[in-house]
Amino acid sequence: MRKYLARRLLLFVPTLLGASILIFVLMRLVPGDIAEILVYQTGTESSAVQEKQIQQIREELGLDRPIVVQYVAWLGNALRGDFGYSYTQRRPVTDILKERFPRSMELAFLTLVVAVLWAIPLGVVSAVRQNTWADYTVRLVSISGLSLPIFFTGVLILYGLVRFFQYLPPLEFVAFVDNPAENLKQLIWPTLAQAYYISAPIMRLTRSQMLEVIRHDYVRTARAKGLGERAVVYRHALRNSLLPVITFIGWWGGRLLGGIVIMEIIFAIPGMGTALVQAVSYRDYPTVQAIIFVMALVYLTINLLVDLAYAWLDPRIRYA
Amino acid sequence: MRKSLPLALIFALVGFGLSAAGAAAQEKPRYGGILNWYDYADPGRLDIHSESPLGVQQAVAGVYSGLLHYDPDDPTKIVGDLAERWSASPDGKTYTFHLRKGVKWHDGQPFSAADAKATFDRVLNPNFKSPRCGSMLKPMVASVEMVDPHTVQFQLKFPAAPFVSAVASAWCRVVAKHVLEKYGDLTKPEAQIGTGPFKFKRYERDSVIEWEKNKDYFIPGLPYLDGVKQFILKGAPTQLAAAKAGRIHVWDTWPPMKKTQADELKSARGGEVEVYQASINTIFLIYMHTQKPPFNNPDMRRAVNLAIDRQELVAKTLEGAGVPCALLDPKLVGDFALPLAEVNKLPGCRQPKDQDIAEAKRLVEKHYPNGIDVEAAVRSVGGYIDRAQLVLSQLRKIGIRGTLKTYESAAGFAVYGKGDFTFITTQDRAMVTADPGDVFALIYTTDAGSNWGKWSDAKVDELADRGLREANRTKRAQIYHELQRHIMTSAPSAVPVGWVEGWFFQDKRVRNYKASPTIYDHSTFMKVWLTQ
Repeated sequence: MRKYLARRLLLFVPTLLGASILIFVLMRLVPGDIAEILVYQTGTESSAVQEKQIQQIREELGLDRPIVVQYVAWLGNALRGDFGYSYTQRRPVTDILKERFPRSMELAFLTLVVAVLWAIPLGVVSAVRQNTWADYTVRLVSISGLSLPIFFTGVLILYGLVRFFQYLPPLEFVAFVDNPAENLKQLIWPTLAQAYYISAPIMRLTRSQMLEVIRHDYVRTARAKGLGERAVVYRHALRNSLLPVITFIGWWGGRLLGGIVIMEIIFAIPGMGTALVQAVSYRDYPTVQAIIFVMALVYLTINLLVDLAYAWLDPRIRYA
Repeated sequence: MRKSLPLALIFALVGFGLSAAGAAAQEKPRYGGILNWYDYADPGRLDIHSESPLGVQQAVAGVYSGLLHYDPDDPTKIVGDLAERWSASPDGKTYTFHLRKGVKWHDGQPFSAADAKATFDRVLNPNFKSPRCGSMLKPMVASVEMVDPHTVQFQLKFPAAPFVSAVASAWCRVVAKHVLEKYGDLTKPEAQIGTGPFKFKRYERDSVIEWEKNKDYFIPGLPYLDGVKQFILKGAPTQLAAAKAGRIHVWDTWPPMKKTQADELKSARGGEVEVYQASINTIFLIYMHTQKPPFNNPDMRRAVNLAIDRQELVAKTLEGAGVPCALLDPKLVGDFALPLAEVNKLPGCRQPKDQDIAEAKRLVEKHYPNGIDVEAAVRSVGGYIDRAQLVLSQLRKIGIRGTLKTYESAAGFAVYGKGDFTFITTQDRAMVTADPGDVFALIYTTDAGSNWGKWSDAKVDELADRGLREANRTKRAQIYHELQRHIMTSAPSAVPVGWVEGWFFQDKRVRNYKASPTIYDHSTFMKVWLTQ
């Protein structure tokens, strides 16, 4: 098990390196750098002054050096935990990560927990009561969750709260450690909006897996030996259905990170998503690179945890 | 000394404000309360002299004072702020500002002329990037001297008409010399130490900015509010939801509401809000690159100028909120603008369009008998794509077939600034001050920062320069009339489609809030109060 873990952790290195090279190159392929954007969007100085200013900013940020030199310098610093300096926020990128990462992870964690707590039981009910009104309702809910784009659900919730309850979630962010109630008042709505979307395929997969498993001989045997229906479903059928579901949650959980960007903007949450959008629009390379790097790391970690969960769920993997 | 802006400005900017002012004049101001509004972006950096986004201006507007400012009681006038009075020499090249005594910075240090000198030396430093204040003052000001601890004097390079407007701009606020020495710049929240009605209290990035009342403000009895809170709301649905839920008192920032949003707000809040239409001092333009085919040919530029139906564009894409055709908006600059009756008879603006379209078609056929395909750039923001589609459909009538090339917002600016385009279907430019010379200095002169199409016309440069130096108002207006006629009847790179307006609202509990001639100048809230 330790060897397996070490091997998986070693695989992090080339993956993260690949992600960092990809984002480094992609950011420089799109038109405009931070110097051009800051100077040209204002467009008030003469063109000669603008060109001088662009050159000054590029020199200050080292953007006048060859791209390979820039990358090696960035990587060297990143390995020492220094992700550079954000020109748009005028502070070290590490400070931005320390401030934003916990907020986004809180939202992601809440979303995943709500989605799983909601999707798996409903998926089970849908399978166990196949072709009843309960099954049809769950299927309808899951299909609509899949069909509605995540930003639309978010806006719909926001407008619905204002229109029907004259209520708007807090616009000012309060950290969980400072005031848990106020924090949850703001986060619960984007959590629900995202969980609705995220839970739909989990619900459907749980249902189809359960439908397959409950027809197996060992389930019939469990019933035949007199076990109660609850024990049959939850101890035997569900546990054996969960393996592919958990794989899927790991993969699907990664998509959460994309949704978080949108939710943070709609519900005014100052997380990594809002910082990323601003950094991309200003070509704030160090900030974009650091946030993408951290997001890639989170994605890899989720997948590693999923793989480790296999061993817990399936003794055959553990003993092998 | 008071400098009056055109009377017509009143109608454009404060039509609503005046009615509210009438009511407010009869009421006794109430002390207390927090005014809530929003900032459309996170300012990130707070140095008002070295930054240019509106978000930065809004974040610190109430913290600082200027030598001059737009009168909060009547924003059509420029009055003294830190300067008690000021005077100009007979040759118009020396301006002397006599400063208030007993003014203190928010940290308790005394304010003096040394601070004013340090401020303007900073923005005038050729090595200091100051895209708003510096770009306005550097061409005009030769030097700034401290005459005594309460007097500061500006020596101008020439008698410059827009000098007073520039000094009154919210981008030219006075900052503390000792703060500059301590922090080096004004980027950080702790460096926000001003003399304004509010102290900078808190900045939670991407979430909220708070000011609190400056109890030692140099105007006794002001401000009325205990504080101001700006939520940072980036999403358009969130901004509208906040307005509908009554969580913000004022919407007088960029972006303005669309008509449909304004109607939605009115239906949600009924009589609790006053919704009004106002100018945002921004011109809607179409650009052609004058050094690239086919628009290096003046006939082709003339053809576009003739074919564009400004009235249709304003009616359909701005929901009627705008002044089509004008190169200067009479609502904003009064009689410096050509009368609209004259403008609307000029080729390209006159209705019906049949004659202009026939002439435009003839010009295109003369050079391209089978018509021509061009790449048409557009930034994918706001309603730009809709505008672009309509512009292209108008040009198809004369044989110019445009293929749309969209750019993400920031990338678009980089492409335009570098001149990597043939045709820009739509782009707005906001003016920095209410001076009528702004639009020419920003877009039409050879050296203008937003002359992206690289147009160079000796007569434009000469008239714009004369307008800048002419102190006599009537003569200056005549120069600008000639300049407008010349641009609108020649073949410029930038076709003026019209001046953009939008919808805004004020909660009826807000009193004494008046919009200023530019979107940058009305956010100090120094005399604003809340009824409850």
